Amino acid sequence: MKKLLFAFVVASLLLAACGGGTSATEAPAGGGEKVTIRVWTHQNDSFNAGYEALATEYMGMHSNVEIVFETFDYDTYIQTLQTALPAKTEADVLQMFGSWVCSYADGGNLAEMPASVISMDDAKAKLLGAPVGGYICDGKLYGVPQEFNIEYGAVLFNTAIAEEVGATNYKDGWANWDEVIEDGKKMAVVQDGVMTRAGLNFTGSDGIATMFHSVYLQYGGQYLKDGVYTVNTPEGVKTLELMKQLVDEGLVDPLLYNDEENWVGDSYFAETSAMGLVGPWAIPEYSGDYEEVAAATIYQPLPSVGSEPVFAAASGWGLTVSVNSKAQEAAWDFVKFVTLDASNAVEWNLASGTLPALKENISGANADALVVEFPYFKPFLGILESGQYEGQFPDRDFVWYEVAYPTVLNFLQGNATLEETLQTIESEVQGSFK
Amino acid sequence: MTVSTPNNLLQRFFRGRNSAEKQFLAGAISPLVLYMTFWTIFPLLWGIALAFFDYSPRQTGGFLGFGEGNPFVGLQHFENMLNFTADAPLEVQQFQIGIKVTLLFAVLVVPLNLLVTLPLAFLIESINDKVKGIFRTLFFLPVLAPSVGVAIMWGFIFHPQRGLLNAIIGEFTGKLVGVAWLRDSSLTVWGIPVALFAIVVAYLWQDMGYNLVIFIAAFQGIPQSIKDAARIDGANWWQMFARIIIPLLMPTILLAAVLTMISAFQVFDIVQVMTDGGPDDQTQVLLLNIYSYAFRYQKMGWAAAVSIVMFLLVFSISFVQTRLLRTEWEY
Amino acid sequence: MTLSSVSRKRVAFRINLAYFILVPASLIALLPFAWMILSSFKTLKEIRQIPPTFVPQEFTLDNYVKVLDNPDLPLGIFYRNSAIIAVANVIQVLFTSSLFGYIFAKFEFKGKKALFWFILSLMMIPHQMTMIPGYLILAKLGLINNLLGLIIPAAIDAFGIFLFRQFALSIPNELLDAARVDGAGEFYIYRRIVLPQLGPALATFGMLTFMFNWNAYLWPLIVLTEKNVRTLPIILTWFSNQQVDKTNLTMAASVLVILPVLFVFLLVQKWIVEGITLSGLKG
Repeated sequence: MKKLLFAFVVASLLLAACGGGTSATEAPAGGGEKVTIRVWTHQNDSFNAGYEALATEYMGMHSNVEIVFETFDYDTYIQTLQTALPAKTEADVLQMFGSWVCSYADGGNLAEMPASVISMDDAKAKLLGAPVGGYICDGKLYGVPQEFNIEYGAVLFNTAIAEEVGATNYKDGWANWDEVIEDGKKMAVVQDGVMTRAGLNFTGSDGIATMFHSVYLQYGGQYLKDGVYTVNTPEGVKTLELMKQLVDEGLVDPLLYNDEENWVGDSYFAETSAMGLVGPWAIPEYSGDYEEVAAATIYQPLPSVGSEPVFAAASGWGLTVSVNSKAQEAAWDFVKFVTLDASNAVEWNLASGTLPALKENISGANADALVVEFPYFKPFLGILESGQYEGQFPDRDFVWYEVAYPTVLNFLQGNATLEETLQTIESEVQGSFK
Repeated sequence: MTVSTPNNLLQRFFRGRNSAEKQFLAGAISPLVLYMTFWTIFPLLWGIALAFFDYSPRQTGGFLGFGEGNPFVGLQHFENMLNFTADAPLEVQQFQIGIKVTLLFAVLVVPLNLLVTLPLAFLIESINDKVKGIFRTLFFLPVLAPSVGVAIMWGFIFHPQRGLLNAIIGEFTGKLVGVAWLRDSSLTVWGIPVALFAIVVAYLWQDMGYNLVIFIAAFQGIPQSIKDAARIDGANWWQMFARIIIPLLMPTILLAAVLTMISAFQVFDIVQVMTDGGPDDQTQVLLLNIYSYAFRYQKMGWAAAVSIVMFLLVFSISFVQTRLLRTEWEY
Repeated sequence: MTLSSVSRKRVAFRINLAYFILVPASLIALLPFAWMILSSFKTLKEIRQIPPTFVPQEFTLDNYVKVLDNPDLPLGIFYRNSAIIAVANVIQVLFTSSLFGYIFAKFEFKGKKALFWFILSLMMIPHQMTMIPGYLILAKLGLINNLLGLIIPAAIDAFGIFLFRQFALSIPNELLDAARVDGAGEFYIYRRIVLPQLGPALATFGMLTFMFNWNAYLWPLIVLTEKNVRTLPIILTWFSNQQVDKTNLTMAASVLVILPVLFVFLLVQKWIVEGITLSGLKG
């Protein structure tokens, strides 16, 4: 019986092993013949409308090329990439979020950018630092970003509430945090000790993580250098003190306002928060259901605590090419067409409602076109150049959502000391580096 | 691939009556063995092997993805579990908390469950047959609902601003109440986090129907002669309950306790939806740790090692269960 | 005073006390359902009110219209997915459990003890133990995001085999032998003689299996990541995560997901209760 079982185990092990790596991208090799480029993207209707328009244009210019899109909803896309890449069943062109690129590049799954498409120096000169930062791993470039993902730098601001309570500092732009606090205090509402409207809701996960790292940079600190993560420093102390001050002054109750109970986007548009720290992508998501609030909403830039208005940003969506692609040359050519041509790039930004990653598109006619379509972009276009790539973490989501957010939130709720908090963040983030 | 079974093999394995019977047995048992080999034994062995590798599906490796990007690390995951220093990696700290929280959860759930279901079953069993069914159905209803829906419902009940619980307390105190039941890690009772209690409440609410119907059935199984004899002796309902019913039902109660404990060890749905392990890891149960690290952060090697620990935990309880079963069989 | 009048008094007292506890207790037990259903009829404005109302002040069906009209939430598809998985698993698990339960009860073959012991020991292995490799196998076979990924690995239920073996033991051998003498084939005997004998067990175990599959969360959550193949429980959390503040919509969706099937389960409650009782009393 044992022998028989053993034989079955071996047989099924072999079977399973065979089942794996047989399939691969079925694209005929180049040579001017018919080329099919498969493109994988995550499900986002406006993003994909942008891609398809450009693909149609490209196919019109290259009659031998056929571009096929496959889309997956966000969660699926991550899982699909994770299982398809090691199995080598992925498409030729892969849409990636900048923070993911290096983990796939390190796994040997992505093709390095050929110098014929763009050299590293040209890429750095042409593209904004924060978005392109995610696509550079160990000094090599693995793709091109198409958008600038910004979470910190400005807040959703409800002018109707400001009017009603007489908060006026924002009108000439906030010069410092004291002015923010003064406005925020007026806009907050507390009844029987329960906060029913937050002045400034920054205590969501993205808000806490990006604010922590951005303010840290503004104080002149550098949290990530050569794979060493340091925040237990005087700059770290000052950063947490500022965040705690916002809580202590009554701008937000972190027990009631967090991702789980009152997510910042919802809470802002439901008017249980008068200001909300969230990226500009939130506005179109909600404007349909909350027209009144959207009409009263402006994007108000936050003051910097340092001399430079620097902030940390998480790269952005862009395109990469699979190392297993049989049509790499054609794939890169399509990527170049979509991402590096200024007018094509802005066409995609217009379709998707995203901020540009190309430097030449943050000012001039292309930028004006964006502002016409998305007026709330205006304050952002001016500050994009101050953005720094947040840095290469082994697992950025882990650092954001498993370490920075819960640890800082716990501190803001008054359950840990400042020293403990910095120590915990530092050691836990460092622990995620191998 | 089909395994052709030579006749002599048939003879050897399915010794017995006629050849039709042998064919029937071979036709049924061989696929069973094959199926279980592939879908049970193989995954089990693979799962055990994973625990000794630093395995992530993102990395490429050799056979089954082992080696190269997913190096062999020996017992390192298990050694890490015993790292109690402050700079232990987060997954290790969450694992250690997970063991504590899971045990605490089970220890809370089992007695509370019995404390509610036993008297309730006794009460339901004692009333008129016509309405008995109605009450049993009412208390059994939550068992039939998906636990996810239950968690969403209870999450809304515990909401600090719009929840039913704070509204009810507010009715009595005449003030707005904003207790963050599920998010305030500073709230504890006897050192036990309130958030965990909240989950225990939702879990009990959903789970108690099981034991309730088991106990009702067990009460019905008690011979009428014993009940009558007790009544003749002048036993009141409490004496009846404590002196006669409970001792008679002891095997069933023990069994129900063990079953409740095993399922409490494997709690996931309600926790994931209501708190996702928060606040401050106070509800970070083991299965959540396995799920997060395997499927959110792709540290499958680590998660597989935690699975083994969890298996040992459940197995030790199951072992007790089989011992109990055996005594009942003999009876 | 006669004995019967004493006990009658006592019984009457006990019954009153019982109702005194049972009625409020059952109201408390129903409260969460009531809260969900009532909330689903509130307007967005009312549901955001601090503190909340219990009974809707302005009764609206809008939430249901919105949920049923939501192109992102084709409930029909999710009902179908859940039904396909649950029905397929009920059929195959009933087939394998009854067949192998019968074989283990009534046949002798080499290695039977070892095999049965092995199946019994599987009951002690929590599903989480094979969750990760199970996922990797499905990924290798291309069965992620495929309903088959929840069906193919679920064909054998160790508890089912154990349970049906207990039932099959009580089938009289004479019945089987008589059929054999009449020249009936073995599979014919299983189908025509054994299965009818197992009828009540098939109903109870089938209902239980259906309910577990219908309400399953963790494994479908891992295997079904693409929206259109998701089952009702995972789509419910997905939807509620998308709608943090639109609690009214989430509650309406929850009602639509929970209530219809709850009603069906209620109708067949008898078998489910029997199944649970069996598992509780016999292991």
